[in-house]
Amino acid sequence: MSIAERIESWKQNPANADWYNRHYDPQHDGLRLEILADAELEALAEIGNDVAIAERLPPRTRLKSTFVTRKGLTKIIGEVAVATVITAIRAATTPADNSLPAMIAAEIAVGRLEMLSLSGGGIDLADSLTQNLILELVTADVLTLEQEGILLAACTEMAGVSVGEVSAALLPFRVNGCVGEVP
Amino acid sequence: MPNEIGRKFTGTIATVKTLKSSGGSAGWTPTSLANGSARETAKIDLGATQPAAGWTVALETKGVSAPTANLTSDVYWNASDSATAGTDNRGDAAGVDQAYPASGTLAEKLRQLTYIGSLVHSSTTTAQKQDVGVLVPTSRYGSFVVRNASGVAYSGTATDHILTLTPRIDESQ
Repeated sequence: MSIAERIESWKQNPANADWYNRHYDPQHDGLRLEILADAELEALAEIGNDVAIAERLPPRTRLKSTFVTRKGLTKIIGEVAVATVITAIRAATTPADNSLPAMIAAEIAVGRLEMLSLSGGGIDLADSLTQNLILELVTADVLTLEQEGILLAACTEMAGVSVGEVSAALLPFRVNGCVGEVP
Repeated sequence: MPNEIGRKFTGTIATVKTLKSSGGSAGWTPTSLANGSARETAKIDLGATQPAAGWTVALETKGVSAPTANLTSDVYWNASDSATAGTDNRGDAAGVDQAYPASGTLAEKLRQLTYIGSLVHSSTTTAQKQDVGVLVPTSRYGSFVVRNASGVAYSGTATDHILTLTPRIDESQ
């Protein structure tokens, strides 16, 4: 039986389903499934030893806020690359067909990139908008994969799972806040 | 010669009160309470006349396994002017021995209660007890909310968990 089926089966009890629906938070889906997929972690979850679960889970990569200015960006991917990015994006996004939607898209891309390179301001590399922009730039061959790797490395860190995260992930299965059998 | 004021811990205006699974002044059954979860006590009547200096609040509890050192169990007070469980409560409390909160987010609801103090855990599987703070009466009735943030679930034995209120009675000598 898959984990999803196990959860559905567990929710057949109305009391379980009511508690689950009131405390389910999708941001913990990955962690929740990881714990349920491991028999040892599942056993620890049933007795409520969240400390031991957190210790056993491998550290994972997570984004950390990293604000960069043009100067900071230059340090990360190099002066030439920053200048190249500016010119390349203009060339890459110049629409061949001069259609209005394509031109608007090009102007938006250039505007976002110039915002990225503003001195004195700064942009968060870990922000989802910036992350998407980095992916777009790689797709458009403006940034190399190596440069992408450097940018992503600058805004990620390896961190262990906290006890609080484990408890939050398991809360939907702990009816009335009490530990017990999990799906 | 001026009178001296002494302090005693039981007297005619108040005696020690306990909140526990059975046989106490009010019910509280946090057996197997998960880390990150909270449980409320039943509503307690502190008495029409209370010690001016308040009550020392002590929490005794035990983990199902060793908690992480320096993590805490946090005690909050829901003051109420009504003896009826569901009437005049703070933080959406129910005045009943049950999971807290009945609805909404725990972190948000706790901010509407009065923080008394925390038991700071050591990494041991034996029972742990600490005077977590002093409750200066603001009302005759109320209930406590205890949040388990010890890292592990509480033990499954009901008698392991007790809140004790000791009156601080000032007396002129």
